[in-house]
Amino acid sequence: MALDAQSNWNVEMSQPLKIPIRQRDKHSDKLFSQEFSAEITFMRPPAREILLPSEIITQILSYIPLQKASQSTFWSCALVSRTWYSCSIAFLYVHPHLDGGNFADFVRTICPSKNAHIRQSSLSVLVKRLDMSELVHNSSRSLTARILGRLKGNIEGFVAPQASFGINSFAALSKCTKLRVLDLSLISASISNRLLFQTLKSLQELEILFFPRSSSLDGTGGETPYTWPPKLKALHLAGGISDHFLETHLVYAPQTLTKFSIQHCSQVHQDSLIKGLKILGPYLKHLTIRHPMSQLAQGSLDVVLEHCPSLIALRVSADYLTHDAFDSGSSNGHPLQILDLECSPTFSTEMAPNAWSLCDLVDKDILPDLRIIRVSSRLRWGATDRSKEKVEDLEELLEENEAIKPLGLLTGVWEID
Amino acid sequence: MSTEKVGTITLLSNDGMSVSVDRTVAERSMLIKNMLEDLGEGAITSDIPIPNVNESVLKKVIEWCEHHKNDPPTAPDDDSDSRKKTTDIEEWDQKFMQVDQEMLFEIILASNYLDIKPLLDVGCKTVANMIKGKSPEEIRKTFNITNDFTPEEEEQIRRENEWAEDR
Repeated sequence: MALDAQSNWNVEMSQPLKIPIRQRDKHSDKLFSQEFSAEITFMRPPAREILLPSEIITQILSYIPLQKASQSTFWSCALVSRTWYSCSIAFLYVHPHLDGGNFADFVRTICPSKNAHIRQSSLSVLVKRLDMSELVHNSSRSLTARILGRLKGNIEGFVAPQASFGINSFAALSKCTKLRVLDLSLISASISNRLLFQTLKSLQELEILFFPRSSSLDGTGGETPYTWPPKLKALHLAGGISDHFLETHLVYAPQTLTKFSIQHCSQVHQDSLIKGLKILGPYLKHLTIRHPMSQLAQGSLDVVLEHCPSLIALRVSADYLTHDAFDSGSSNGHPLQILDLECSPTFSTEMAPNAWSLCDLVDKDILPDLRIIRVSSRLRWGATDRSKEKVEDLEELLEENEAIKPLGLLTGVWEID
Repeated sequence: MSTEKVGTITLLSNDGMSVSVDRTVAERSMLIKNMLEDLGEGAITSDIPIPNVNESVLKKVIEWCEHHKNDPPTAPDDDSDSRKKTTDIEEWDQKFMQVDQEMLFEIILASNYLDIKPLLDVGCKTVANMIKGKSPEEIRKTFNITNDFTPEEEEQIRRENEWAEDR
């Protein structure tokens, strides 16, 4: 391996510190200070060092949230002493917060050499989640692939960067077999669904998947359904999803799928979406359908709850609902607990669900478990005194139902921006 | 009241002092509780030695147990995330923890030894809150920790983790 001096230096310096975790001689420390304090009782002895065992330091550190703001705190802890280093280093690397300012330094530590066989930084195995969402032009396609290659054995979560994610990154990604969360929603380049599903084949542990926002159509053909990750729990679709995709592929999603969301799909029509929901619906607990979905019309989703009999949370753009929405006429009662009504800026609210229609649904026991309603201020539920009154009536109804059948939820109607 | 286990037991600190305490209060400590159960009613007349804890710390710990004697018992293995989500500490406990650093660490060690999980949690949360936003040197100073790195080691750790340094 012919390396120049600089590479040698890089490689050598990337050797993480091997710190023996040894207990220091507590006994002598204590003895000394006790003798001391016994002799001169009226003088406060110099504070003696009390060594906490590693498991307690680890417990202390576990109370520090793994947020961006905490990163420098874990950094500080790693520099306190040997014991503190050995306790804090895993917290520092488990979920690194990367941005344009620190990315280059991070890469230097995690993959010091381009030659993957030279050495593996033992710090890299501590990284469980790689979030490149804040990087724009700081990485390159090859560098992203290289980092993934370094972390492939251990990462459980990956958020792809907006740029610098290419076909070669998919090859590396397919080797990250422990991935449970994969977020490709930021990728701006167009990604073929076929390539994406080839990659997914090896990700058997995947539970949460965000589609690229510009996944591209694969043209015609492709009648063989794609294989879905068998443990998939949450799927977020966006981009170049076609009716064909919903009808041919989505319907084969595993029954473990309990959360489904779709937005920004300009080619999806009502019929295909409803067909898909008919098949996935019985298993879904959480459903999100948000604007823009340019092929859906007002009223397209009025029947959505009929197809999703187990749903407990629904977030939907009122653009696709009328005030007859959800009224199945059945008094069996739907288990929905949380309803979020959003709306696009251009939507005319005339026919949209309002406080009256919701009151009616709760009153008729069509939605007996409904406790929380969040509604976009654009729907103008608080615009007139009459509608304000109706909202108050609705809140009372929700509260009464909670009193009859407590679900442990804070009831109410909230306006959101 | 008649159903409550009454009675006082005596704990013996490692500096040889006897401390009397209500049995119900002392049983906040799982170590003591289990010990009493093992010993049976008969043996409670004798002092219970607490070899790892001195009198002042023991009294402080008992003060906490006294205040919290009516708390619902913690689930046996409640190591779930819910406990770790927050560093919120109730007001009384915050005041209780306003002690010098040495006492704070002693309380943590004692609650660990005596197996009083909620007190250990409060102690650890208190330290966690004190660490936040501090530099390595400030942490060492606050908690009286000796820097046992060699200069080379420290330099290497700084270089390796430069990406995480607050700048």
